[in-house]
Amino acid sequence: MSAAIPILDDQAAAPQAPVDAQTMQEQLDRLFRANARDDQADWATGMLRRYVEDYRLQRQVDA
Amino acid sequence: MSVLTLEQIVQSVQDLPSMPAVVMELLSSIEQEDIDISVLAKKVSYDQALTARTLRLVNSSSYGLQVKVTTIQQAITYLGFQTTRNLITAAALTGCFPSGVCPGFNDKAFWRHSIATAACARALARRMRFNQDVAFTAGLLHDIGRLVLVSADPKAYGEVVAMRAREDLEWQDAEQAVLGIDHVAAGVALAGQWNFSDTMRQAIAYHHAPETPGAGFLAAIIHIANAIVHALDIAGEENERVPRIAGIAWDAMGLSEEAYLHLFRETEVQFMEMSAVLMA
Repeated sequence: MSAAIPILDDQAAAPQAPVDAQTMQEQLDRLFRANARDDQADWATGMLRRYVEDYRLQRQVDA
Repeated sequence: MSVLTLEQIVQSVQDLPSMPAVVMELLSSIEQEDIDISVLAKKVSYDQALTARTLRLVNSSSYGLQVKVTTIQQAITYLGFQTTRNLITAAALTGCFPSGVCPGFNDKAFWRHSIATAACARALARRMRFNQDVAFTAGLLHDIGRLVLVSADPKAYGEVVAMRAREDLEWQDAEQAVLGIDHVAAGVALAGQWNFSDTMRQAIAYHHAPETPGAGFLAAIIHIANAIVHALDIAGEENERVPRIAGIAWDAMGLSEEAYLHLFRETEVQFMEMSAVLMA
């Protein structure tokens, strides 16, 4: 069984400005410009991108 | 192309402003358990500027101490020798290299990246049950070869910076194209000169190539920490880009997404704490 848990449990101590999704995507596109998202051979870089995207959007993940 | 030889690199390392002898001693003995802590603590305390910087780090909220620590010996009592040694090393290294000597080279961004990689490597090492102090120091030192190249030929390194920006290259490729040598080779030369341990030398040598046979686990930790710090865009480097991650290093961490998200947060928080002291 999985449960959704807050990924950033110390957010209260360090409030952040709301994230603009489009701006964030543009920033990630710039940072990860050497990584094609569909490049199977570069899957590890793609995983990092996905996790950073989740982090920046403050999504919750399944434990 | 302005070719730099390894001999010139070694010479430029010798010409660097000297690190306090006690810090060299700390760096070369990082994996030794049988060193006389009280003697080293005493030696560090003779350097007042270094002691003051170290104690500011010790007393920052990163380490959560309930008391105000006023001596190196006290820091060792509360934090342990290994952690105190890390902080002394960080305090010494960040003040050791001249800044502003190379056109276009962003010294502050360099140190922000190094401090953040050190914080991330330490956090990763804790999750891997690897020596956190060794990981921290390796993170701090992984790109030190870039400073060696800057010191060896500031004008030529200015061309590296310009070429990298113009052609959107990795640092290593731009360094090879302009200098005929890269920061990895320069870092390894420095590691030899400063008597770093073999583990530390391996991490510097293979942090861009952790898949190399014999690279060692520390190289994989630094490889991942380096990529994370680029991805979090912490350094504030113009033309920041995330390098390709070796799948073998990612697999070696074996962490869940949840663990990574906590790691990102911890890296950012620790970086803010440490950089406030080290870059003040």
